[in-house]
Amino acid sequence: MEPLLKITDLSVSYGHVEALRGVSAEVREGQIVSIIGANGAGKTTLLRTVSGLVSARAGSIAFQGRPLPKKPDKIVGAGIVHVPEGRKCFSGLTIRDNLLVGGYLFRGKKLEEDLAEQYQRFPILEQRKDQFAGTLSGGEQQMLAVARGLMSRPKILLLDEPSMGLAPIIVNQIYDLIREIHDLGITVLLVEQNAAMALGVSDYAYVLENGRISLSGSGEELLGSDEIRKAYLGG
Amino acid sequence: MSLQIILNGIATGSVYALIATGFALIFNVLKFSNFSHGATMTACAFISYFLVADKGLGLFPTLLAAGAAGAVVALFGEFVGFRRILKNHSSATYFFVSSITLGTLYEGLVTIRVGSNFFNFPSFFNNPTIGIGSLVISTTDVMMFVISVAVLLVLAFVIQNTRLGRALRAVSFDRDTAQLMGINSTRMIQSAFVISGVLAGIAGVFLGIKYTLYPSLGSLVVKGFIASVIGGLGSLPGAIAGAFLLGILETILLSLLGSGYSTIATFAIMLLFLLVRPQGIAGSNVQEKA
Repeated sequence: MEPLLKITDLSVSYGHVEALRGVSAEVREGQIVSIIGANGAGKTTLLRTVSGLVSARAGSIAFQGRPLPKKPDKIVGAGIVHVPEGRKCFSGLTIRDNLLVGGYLFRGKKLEEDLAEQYQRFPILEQRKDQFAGTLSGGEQQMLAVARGLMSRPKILLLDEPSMGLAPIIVNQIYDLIREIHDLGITVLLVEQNAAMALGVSDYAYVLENGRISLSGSGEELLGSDEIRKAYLGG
Repeated sequence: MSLQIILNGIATGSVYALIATGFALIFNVLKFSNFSHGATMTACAFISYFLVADKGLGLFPTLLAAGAAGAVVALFGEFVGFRRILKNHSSATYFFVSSITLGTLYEGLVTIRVGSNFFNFPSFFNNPTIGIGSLVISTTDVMMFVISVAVLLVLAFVIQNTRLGRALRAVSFDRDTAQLMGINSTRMIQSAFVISGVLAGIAGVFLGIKYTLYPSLGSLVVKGFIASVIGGLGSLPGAIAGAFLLGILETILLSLLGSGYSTIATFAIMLLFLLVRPQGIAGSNVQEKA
């Protein structure tokens, strides 16, 4: 079966610095795939390239068997939705407006229904819908960022470090949420430094080191690998 | 202090509010002041003067023509002067050079066409003043106030409550993240320029009516600049509040000190604001960027 997202030999540079060197990876429909690696390994660059914010120097990305559109807004339209690192909620917009901006590509009744669905999933967001997003806690902002992403009706959701800077109990909630999203039939591509959490939910995972894929395998395989244990799981 | 002076101040303030709002809109997307805004006002006022007002077609066609000219001029400016700079995330110095150059270009083009002569808009009203009891208000002032307020109310509604307005605010906050929601940020920046250009066109005609029409009329943009500094750069409600405050203050100072000192006093007030409350009336513009 054709993978939903297929990344082939992707290279990206910022000036003279090579951030990605010949990265190939694929995500099949209905999977949770994670990319783990240290800070600066190129994980975020990979997601930003998929969502069109960064352009590749070489290589290709195909979505549903077709080459990816060029512009970020068209890529969202195709169903690839990126929840960026550090949540990036629009802090001076209300929570409701954040969600509506997430649903920018939809109008009318569809938009209203999607909004109601997110309010149902995240009651806290409905309770505080008229407050500025900047008043939410870190965990709540992550929920808002995910809810805002879901408003774009993703076929595949790209999540960049959803656990970053959050207390362990909140991290668990976020991972429950990732499973819930997966159960909705949405494919997930997850980027994480928190390897243990990510591998625990993943069908398949890639390890990114200095811009190259150094290892890949099922989540269980990598959790069991000595190499991974030493480098990323702290023992 | 008479009610008369306050009323005149409010009328002046409403024009400043148009200027300050147009200024603030662009400040939000560029994170830099568009110094070609003043010359855009002049160019639009002259275009509508020659195309419409001079032919005796009346006030509303004149304003429409000025607004349309403003939209076109602003789109041209966005494409030529700002798009590449914005795309490359270049330093603010480039915006400075770019906007000053555009402004000088527009003013130069106007001067070539009209020389350094003064022009008067035809009087659009049969009765130059309206009397209410002992108060005498110029019809022009009333018209400027009513139209400015109407325009600003429509703008506030669009920014606050529509899909376009939300997208504009999102792009002002964080261009990259807004694109991840399917928003075409270039299109939104163009929209901001169009709105700002329309405001500049209308403000240009009002200034031309209130004073006279001359090639360096656009230097009055400085009033809009002061108003948006007082209000808090980048905040639209702040810009409007600052503009009315400035208009009223100016008229009061004018009656107390005469024209020479009142100009100096308004600049002194702006400097005082920068010293004491640099974030302006609206406070943190992070909370209220629009």
